[in-house]
Amino acid sequence: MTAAPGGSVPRDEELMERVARGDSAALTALYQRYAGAVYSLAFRVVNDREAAEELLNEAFVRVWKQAPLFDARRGKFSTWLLSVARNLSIDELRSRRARPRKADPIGDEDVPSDLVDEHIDVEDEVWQHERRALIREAMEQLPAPQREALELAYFHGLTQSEIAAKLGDPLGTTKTRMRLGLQKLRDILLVDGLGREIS
Amino acid sequence: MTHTEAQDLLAPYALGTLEPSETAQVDNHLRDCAFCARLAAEAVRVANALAYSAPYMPPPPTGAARLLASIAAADQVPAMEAPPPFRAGRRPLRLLPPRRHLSPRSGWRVPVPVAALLALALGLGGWNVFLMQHVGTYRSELAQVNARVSRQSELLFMMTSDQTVSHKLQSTDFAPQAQVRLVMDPVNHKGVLMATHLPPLGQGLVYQVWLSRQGTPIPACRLIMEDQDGGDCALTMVDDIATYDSAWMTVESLRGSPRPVSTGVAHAPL
Repeated sequence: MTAAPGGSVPRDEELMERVARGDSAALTALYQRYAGAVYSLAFRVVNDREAAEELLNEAFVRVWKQAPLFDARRGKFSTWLLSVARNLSIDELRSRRARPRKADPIGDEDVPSDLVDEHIDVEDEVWQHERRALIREAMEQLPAPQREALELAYFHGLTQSEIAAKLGDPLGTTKTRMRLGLQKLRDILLVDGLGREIS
Repeated sequence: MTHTEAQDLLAPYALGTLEPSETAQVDNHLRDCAFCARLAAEAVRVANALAYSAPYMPPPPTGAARLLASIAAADQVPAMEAPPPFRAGRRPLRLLPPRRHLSPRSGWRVPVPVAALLALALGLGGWNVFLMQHVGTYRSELAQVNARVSRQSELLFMMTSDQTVSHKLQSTDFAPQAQVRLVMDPVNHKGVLMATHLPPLGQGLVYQVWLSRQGTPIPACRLIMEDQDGGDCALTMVDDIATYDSAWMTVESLRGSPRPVSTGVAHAPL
């Protein structure tokens, strides 16, 4: 959330300014707003609750430590936070590939996907829920090979060569699929009214 | 790197799947090319939208408290350097110089090394008191935050449960702008009342919530003011919520009252 609906909810950037001044309540507010998204992302990458909790905590510790360096003119807070969380998660995943993977009994089908993010602002909750549904729908509209290539890159941290090898495709085909997939996703999000996600 | 070459790499760049050397090349180009930098920024935002395609997982309820503990540990004042250990056999430090200039006129003249040690001791004592006060204040604030997070977690749990029932209480002329909502969990016999846009109360007065059964009011909870004009309180109901027929919020004395004796603020039949 970057806007303040009705002027009552502080914007992310305002909260980050307070975090930079050492205001832990502002950090808690950002946590309440984005913990669901960060935790879901981390769990999707590492598929391990305990590790996902560690990553969630580490992502927000970085928010605390790096808040004085955050420059809102260079991008939205949510984009930055999700990049931090994703990078941490992929690093963890890569370090785990060398050792036996700890299985988590929770599968996608068991996930309570109808729950809303941990945030008590009802308007924001509704928006988070709607955004999640729209982005999932947008992903489903992509041709399967493009969707698969994007997911392997984003959630599994595979390089283009690794994706090509995994899918048995030529490298050039994989590159094209990723490029077209991302372009098409952008177009769908714009049509679906998610322009503020990508603008 | 040309514009075309850079733009061909923007998708894997945004998705973080380039080799480090390729990433460095793209970064170099983006530093000098505002147009490609704009395209790259947009690609990164689209890539980040993928995060929301992950199935939702509710974060751990203790996560916020854990985070606060982590940042407290990260911010800890570095430990003071310990004095060098006393070495056996080492000649003890001579603290007192020979009494050569002890003059009756000047009264007590404290030797400089002793004065320095006294000053240091006083300074350390003061610093210690300051630190203890600081830690005490921080612990108190942390406890308040934890309590609030715990309440909010409980509220979140109820709001996301399929079992909960929500009632909007109709405000009265006492507070026409008031927004009051009661969320009840019939399975766990719990509830939360949230209120905003309430007028400030005089000293010794509180907002009191009542549940009524067959016309008999039962005190349920007192509002904890989180903001200047709003707050919430948790209700624990001993009986099935179906046995209650209405909910009230009134203004009562801080000393308490067995039944409502003052102004009604909001009301709803259940």
